[in-house]
Amino acid sequence: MKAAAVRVLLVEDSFSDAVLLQESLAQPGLGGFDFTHVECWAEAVQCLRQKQFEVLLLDLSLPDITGRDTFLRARAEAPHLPIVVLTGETNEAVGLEAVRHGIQDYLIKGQAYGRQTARAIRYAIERKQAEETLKRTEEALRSSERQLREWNSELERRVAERTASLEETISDLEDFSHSITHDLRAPLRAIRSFAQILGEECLACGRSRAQEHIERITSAAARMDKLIQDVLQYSRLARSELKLVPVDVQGLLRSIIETYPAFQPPHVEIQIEGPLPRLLGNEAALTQCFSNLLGNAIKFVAPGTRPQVRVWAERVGNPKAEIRNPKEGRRPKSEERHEPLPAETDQLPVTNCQSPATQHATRNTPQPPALHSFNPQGSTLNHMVRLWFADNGVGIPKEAQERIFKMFQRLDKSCDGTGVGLTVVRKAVEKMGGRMGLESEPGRGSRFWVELKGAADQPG
Amino acid sequence: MTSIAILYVEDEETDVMLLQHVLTKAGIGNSLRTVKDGKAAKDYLAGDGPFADRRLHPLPGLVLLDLNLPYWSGFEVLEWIRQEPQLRRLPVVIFTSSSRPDDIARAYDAGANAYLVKPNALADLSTLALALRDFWLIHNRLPTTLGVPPSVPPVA
Repeated sequence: MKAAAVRVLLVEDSFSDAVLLQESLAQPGLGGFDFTHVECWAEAVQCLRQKQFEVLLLDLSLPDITGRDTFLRARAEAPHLPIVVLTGETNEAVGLEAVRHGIQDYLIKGQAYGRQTARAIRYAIERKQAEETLKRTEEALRSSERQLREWNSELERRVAERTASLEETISDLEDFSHSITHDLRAPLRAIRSFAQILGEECLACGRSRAQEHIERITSAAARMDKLIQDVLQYSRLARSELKLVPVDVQGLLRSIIETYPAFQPPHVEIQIEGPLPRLLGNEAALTQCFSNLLGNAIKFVAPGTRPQVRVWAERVGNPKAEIRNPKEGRRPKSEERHEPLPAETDQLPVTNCQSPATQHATRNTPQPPALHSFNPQGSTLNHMVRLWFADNGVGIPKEAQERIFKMFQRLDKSCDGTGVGLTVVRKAVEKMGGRMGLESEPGRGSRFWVELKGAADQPG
Repeated sequence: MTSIAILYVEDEETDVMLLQHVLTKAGIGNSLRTVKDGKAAKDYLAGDGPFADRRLHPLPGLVLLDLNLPYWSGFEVLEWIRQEPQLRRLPVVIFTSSSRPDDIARAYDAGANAYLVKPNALADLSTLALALRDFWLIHNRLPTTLGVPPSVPPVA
């Protein structure tokens, strides 16, 4: 394929040099050049503005400009045009300088016009094109970087904005719950207190019926107060970030039992089938959970029954078991396979602790599975551990078992309770990366379980 | 028992009645004087306007100060007391329903002598009345003058 003639603007004031150059390049086989010849810089500028050229051949000593000014002006006038300067034999240095200032090449006048010159011109064009491409790429890169920086700062600004708005929301919520504490509880304080004063006065006057009515007012107000406190506690818990540390649950349970006379004999019998492992949790949240679970366990018993509660731990069978989202609903029983905590070794076969045999053995006395002891020497790291709280209470029918975790749900209105306790437990357990559930049948007691991550064993 | 007046600054009438009730049961009901807002507290302590008669409105030996008050908040009252040369030693006990750590810290920073959270049950309020009586009127020694000579630098 024959290449199109290269469009050259030749700026040369010496007529003979110009002719010599044009003729030498007109030889066949050099690809063809289409010359426009002018004799001074002013004319060159006009041409450059009117016509498209592919290369500029520029003599450095023109009538209206000479030396380095010539190529500097030319470069500025046509920044994207390949330029080859023509220098005299005596000042090759200017040619080199020109190259350093973005001129593609220089030719020494009178030397080797012809094939070499043609090649130099074509190379100059190629070189300039490559430079231009590189420049465009660099420019694109710089602009991408700029864009990236802009996006980044925009993103940072937005994050800061959202964070500020979230912080504001949280602080609003805190103000809200504080105002609940103050403003909702203040009238209750008045109702309770004055009803009590009135009750004492009625008692002094011997008006026992009136006193009974006043007692109802007092207890209703007390209940309302408890409800507000429970809901506040739930909302605080839901908002708070729980710091998880290894907790000695056995010690914690014992101290809870020691603190509350209601958890002690002769009223009730709470047995900890230890040793219990250390678990990753938050002590305050766990105290809340255990108190609520034990409180429920002893509260909901048939009349005349002495509450009995047993607590034990077992390792969940599959160490890689995912923490299930409670919204996904309960897994079928058959999947819930657990391994009793090892007595001697970690490598016990996986068994289903709720085998029919165990279930039948469970009458009104809670029965832990045959193998329930926990070996404190065995590593529990990264294992889920299930704590069981089994009672001899009235039990909960299947259809009500999900409902009891909802706020304000009470199955037995005769017992005092706000219907918030289990909601709080479930939220706290989820906040600690665990889950909870229960197994129960009416008349056969309930077994609530709480599953949490095992902590590394205490050194020594 | 020291015989002093206790000034209770409280806008909730029921809270005033309840404290009056339990202080009476504790045997010190006569010592209670009450004002309903921060500005009135300032007038009372300064002996201004309706409180000019010190026989009826004696300078208290102890102030029980609610924080959530109309016009002037409890904090403002406390700050005012602490920069008033004639009152700077006056013991001030915050008595509020707020258990906010921020409020507690701010109260002590402003020079509160104690911080009590209002109990919700009457029985607890009775216990608190007895504790107030025992601590402030029996065990605690109060300064003979509330004012401070000008040479003593004010509290920060």
